[in-house]
Amino acid sequence: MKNFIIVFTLLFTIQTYSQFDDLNSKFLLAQSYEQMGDLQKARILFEEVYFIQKDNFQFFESLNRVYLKLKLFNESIQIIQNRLSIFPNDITSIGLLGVTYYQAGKEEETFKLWNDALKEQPTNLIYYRILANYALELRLFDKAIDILQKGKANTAEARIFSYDLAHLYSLTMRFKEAAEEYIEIINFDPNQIIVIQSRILSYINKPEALVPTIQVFQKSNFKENSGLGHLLAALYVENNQFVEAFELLKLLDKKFSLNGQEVFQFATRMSGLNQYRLASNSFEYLLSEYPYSNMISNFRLNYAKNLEAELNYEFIKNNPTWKDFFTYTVFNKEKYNSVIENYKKIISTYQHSEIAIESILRIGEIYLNRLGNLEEAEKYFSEVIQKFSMSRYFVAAALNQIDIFIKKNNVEQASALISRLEINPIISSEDRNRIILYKAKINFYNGAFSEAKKYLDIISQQTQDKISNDAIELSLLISTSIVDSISLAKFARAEFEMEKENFASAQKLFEELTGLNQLFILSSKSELRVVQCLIAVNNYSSAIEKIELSLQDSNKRFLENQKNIFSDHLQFLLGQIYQNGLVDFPKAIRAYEDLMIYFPNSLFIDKVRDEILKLKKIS
Amino acid sequence: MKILLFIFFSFFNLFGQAKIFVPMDLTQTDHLKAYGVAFRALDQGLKVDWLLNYKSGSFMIDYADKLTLEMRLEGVSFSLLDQADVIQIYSTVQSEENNMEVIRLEKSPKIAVYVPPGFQPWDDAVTLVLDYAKIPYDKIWNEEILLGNLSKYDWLHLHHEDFTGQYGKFYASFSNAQWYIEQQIRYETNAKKLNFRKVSEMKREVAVRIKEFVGQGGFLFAMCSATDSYDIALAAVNTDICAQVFDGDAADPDAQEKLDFTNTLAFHNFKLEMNPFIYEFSDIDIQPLEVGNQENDYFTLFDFSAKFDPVPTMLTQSHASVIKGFMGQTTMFRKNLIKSSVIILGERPNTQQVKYIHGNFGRGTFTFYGGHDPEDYQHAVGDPPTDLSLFKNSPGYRLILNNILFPAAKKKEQKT
Repeated sequence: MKNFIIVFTLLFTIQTYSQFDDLNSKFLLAQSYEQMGDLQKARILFEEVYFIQKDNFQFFESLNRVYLKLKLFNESIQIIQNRLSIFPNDITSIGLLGVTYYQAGKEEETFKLWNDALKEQPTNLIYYRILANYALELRLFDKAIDILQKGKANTAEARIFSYDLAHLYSLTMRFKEAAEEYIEIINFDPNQIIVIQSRILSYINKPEALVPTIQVFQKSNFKENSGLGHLLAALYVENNQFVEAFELLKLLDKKFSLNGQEVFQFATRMSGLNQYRLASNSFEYLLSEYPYSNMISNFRLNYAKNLEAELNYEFIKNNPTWKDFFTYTVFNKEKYNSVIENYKKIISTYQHSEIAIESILRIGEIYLNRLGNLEEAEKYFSEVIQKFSMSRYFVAAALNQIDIFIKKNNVEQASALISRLEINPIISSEDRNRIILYKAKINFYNGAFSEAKKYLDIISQQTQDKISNDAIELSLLISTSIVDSISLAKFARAEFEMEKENFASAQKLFEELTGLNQLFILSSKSELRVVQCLIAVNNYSSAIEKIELSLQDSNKRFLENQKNIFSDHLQFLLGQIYQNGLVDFPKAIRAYEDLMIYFPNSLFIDKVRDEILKLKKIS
Repeated sequence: MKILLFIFFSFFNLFGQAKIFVPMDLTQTDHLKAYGVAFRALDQGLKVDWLLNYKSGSFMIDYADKLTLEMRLEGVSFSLLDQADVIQIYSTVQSEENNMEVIRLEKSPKIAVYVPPGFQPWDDAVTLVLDYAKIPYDKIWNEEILLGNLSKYDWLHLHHEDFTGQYGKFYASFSNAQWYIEQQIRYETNAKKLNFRKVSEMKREVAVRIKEFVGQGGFLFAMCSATDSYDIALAAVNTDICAQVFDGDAADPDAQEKLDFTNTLAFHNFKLEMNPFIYEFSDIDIQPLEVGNQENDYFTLFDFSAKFDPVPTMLTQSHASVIKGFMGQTTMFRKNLIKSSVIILGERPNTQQVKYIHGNFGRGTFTFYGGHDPEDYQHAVGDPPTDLSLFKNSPGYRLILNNILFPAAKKKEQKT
């Protein structure tokens, strides 16, 4: 008997195992057929295995999938209903049945089936989530939202639904509702702020997303919740509502003792966006609220730099930067002095530090470029040069100082400083070219033309650097005019007067050089320079007269090589005078159009096209 | 006597004033903007003659101060002709010995571009070149077409569109990308709003309406995936070719057999690619491996008889007869799948690869041009748009603009 039992058990096990193995092989074969696209063969095999083991979910699910692919909806309904008769509360089967109904065009049955299931288990979180997923699979977003809303209302885990709902709302462009859900999450768990901010910012640039989101956040308790406030400030910045953002950040900073961190980030961002006033106000706030912060030196320097940047913006706006040469008008002297005072405080507080050296350099640059006080400027540049030769601000100070030496015709000192700079290992290639150009200019102004040309030719080869154009032009002028070195020397003197902004004396010298037929490049350039001198001193009527005479005269000359080679430049300046000097737009347009007609290959063509289009828009 | 007087006055009227000559050969500084100038000259009521094959398809336009200024502003090169020059050019072009012809352009066509509202992560070569040449056009989408608004237009452009409802078959690479998800939702919302259960059903109906527009005399120009996907949608008018990932249910297992090739405009006997993970609609498109190296990818334009076949001649006016190729979702068309009634305008010689085709349907015409952007060999999703000011003389883009002006041509009696 014992032996019989052993043999029977063994046979039964082998039989069962072999049946299982057979089913498994068929199932795998059916899957292969399905992947190959032979759905009919797959269906036959799946049916075989399914009818042997109806309670096997894998067999059931695979067969149902193939039925749907073959659009055999009745068969699908039948096997799902069979399964439901075995497992009546199986929410997966309920979901699948709904899918089949929907694909068979029975949308109402789907919704009724799912709604009934939810009514049966109103507090079952899993029911809501599974059915919402099936709705999403069918691309039924509204239905999925409806199910999730019910889940949120009826279960104890509202937050889980809020995330899904917010995501669905943003996908379906219901940004107001999305924001409301996100606010709910933040109120419940403030630690979610980073995740939610990244989610909101990922869609906030979509059309009609930003304003409704801001409106929802404005109605929230953002003053009580720093996360919400932080997010609202970020939204204000996205919407260019910088002032609102600043006010809110100050409020949050005080209320939640944030140590100025967010205001600092805001200030830095404003500086990057050229919102200098707001940036300086922000740094001013930080200076007054956190005088003992370990970043105080950074606050001070940035405060001063942003004050200066704002003044520089106004300076450029109020000076005639359209001119090739001009003497700038000093604006906001008092305000610049106040900026200087701020830099001086930094210098005295943080002596010998890099921010102090930067402050010294900046004071020098203000005196040189904004207040026109060369002596004062020199004091500051020389301080950097003499005391801080290892600083990264040394090169900039030295270059500014060389500029001043050249203007003062102090050749020896300029040359000495140039020699010192040349051996500086940290100098950039652009600054090195600038030094070579200084050397060329010094030689040119002093009549050493061959030497000057040697340096100019070095820079001329550096075509990636913009100053190579200036070098090429001056080199050409020297080559073509060297035969008459007296005239060339006069021209050099005139150029030097221009450099020193002595426009009247420069004009006089240039006028003496016009009309030299044998030196037509020098003569043409001098005609151009005369006009530039007149423009520099706002003598527009004389400048126009000179341009018109020059152009008429040039047109009379039959041979191309006898014409003023800068005629197109003169024609362009005529347009510029009418446009910016006399604000007579029709005449400016006419002048530019003439340039297009008579000088179609001019380098000014693109610029002129833009100007005409701009002026026509204004007109 | 009356006849003599008529000839005299006609002659006087024809040559009584100076003309502007816009060369389209290698001396032209901006070929693309030249088309815009010709287009606007028509709008201003000026006579525009298209001199087919004369200096690579130049234009001769009635003189107007405003126009010359505009050309200077746009950087389009031109010269002024006196009466003797004009006579000389006309006689050269009309001489039986030269393969040239004068085509009088009558009226600028009203252009519509089928483009979805909102941002798309690719750029449309046609809208790029229309904007560059400052040629006005309207953007229309499914709703306008289904409401019958196509009848307001002469010319319709379709670009990187998928008429099969499979969202460009970007599923494998981009199904998780935000733009893809949003695009699918937007299209589904649009379909529901227009009472279609599926996007594929809406697109199919749009394709049918476009075909009706062509049948009634419209000009259709399609590029990239709009070419083959359009014909596939027409062929699949009675079947579901979309996998579940696209429309929520499975494709018809017998879809291939149910295709009706009598419905299509240009292609027949093609085999569908129904695997949603493969970035291809059918075997119409030439695969990158078949194209080979970019360095060798050029296509050649056919040389048609200007006097006998003016339409294909207009469509192939170019200052280069060999043009560098460019890829797209649909790069080129397989020759053996093109219907025999369709004219091949450009191809890679001695291969099955056809780039540019043209055909008639009803009273209208269609032109299909493979590839995405003639000046960006492999324009990928998310790449920045091509700056056409850097490609003012692009022969590839020029072919698009030939299609814009061709509907403006005064119809001549066909000689063949």
